[in-house]
Amino acid sequence: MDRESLRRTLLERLREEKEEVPAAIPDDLNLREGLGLDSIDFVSLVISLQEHFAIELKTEELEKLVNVGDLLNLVESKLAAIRRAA
Amino acid sequence: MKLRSPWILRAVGLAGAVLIRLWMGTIRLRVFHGDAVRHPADHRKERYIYAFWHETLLVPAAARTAIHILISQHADGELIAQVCRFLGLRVARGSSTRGGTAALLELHRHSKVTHLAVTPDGPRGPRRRVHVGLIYLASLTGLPVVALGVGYARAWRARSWDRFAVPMPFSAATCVICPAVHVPARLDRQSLDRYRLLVEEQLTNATAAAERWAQGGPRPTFATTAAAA
Repeated sequence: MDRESLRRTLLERLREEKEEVPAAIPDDLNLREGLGLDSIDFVSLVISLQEHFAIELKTEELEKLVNVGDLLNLVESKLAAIRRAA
Repeated sequence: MKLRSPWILRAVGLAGAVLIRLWMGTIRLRVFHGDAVRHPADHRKERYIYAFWHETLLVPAAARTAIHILISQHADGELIAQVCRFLGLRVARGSSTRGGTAALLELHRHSKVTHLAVTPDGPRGPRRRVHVGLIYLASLTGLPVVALGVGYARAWRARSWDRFAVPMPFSAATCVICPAVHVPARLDRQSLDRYRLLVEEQLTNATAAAERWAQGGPRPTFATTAAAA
């Protein structure tokens, strides 16, 4: 899955979890202020992504995330690790 | 004084746990079960989220069951976490104000194995007000919420935000256990808040009933049906 497909999936998941979501989610968009995610929204999004991609996002990895690009990088790295292991 | 050395923290934590065990061993505890389940339930068969006010932490902390308790990431939280570990409780760190995401995810993971314990007005209050995080956790994990009201016949009260209570040795304490509240999955914010108010009302009523009972009043007879909000 390329980065733009991943971004579209992230946008779809966001729309399922939250009523007001921007039309575009560029890499530099801040997860908290830009997307307006609080702890509850963020946990819902993380669990949704974990279930969709069958990956595990560790709490210490999530604590480092600041913007959309960081989240996409993390998901990409998890998917790449799965491909390597297959 | 802030304790920074891990060894000193562990030593103080151990001493605190021993003291609590000895202290609480002198307390005459009476428990009222508000529904058919005897709590704490066997965690291998059914699991619950036990909720009680921060100020009454000493009574539930003395329970012996497989349970993860949420302790704040504030500086004083580390000492409380050490005490809880030595009491045999498992600890998840975080709160609504710091590390909330990590705490929710960690508790979600632990919910498949043990009970969970939450002080829904912690770590900084307002006193006796339920934060919505508890209800979201119940919605996320599918575990029912069981509210525990605690009352003391005689207790010292700290001058902290929660007026933390320490029962006097050899005094009586009571615990009123409410019927479980089942919170549906994927609730919107408005519905989460309705359940938040329901659990807050249960905790308030159970605490009032426990306090009356502890101070010589009648044994509770209420059967607060945990109807959908």
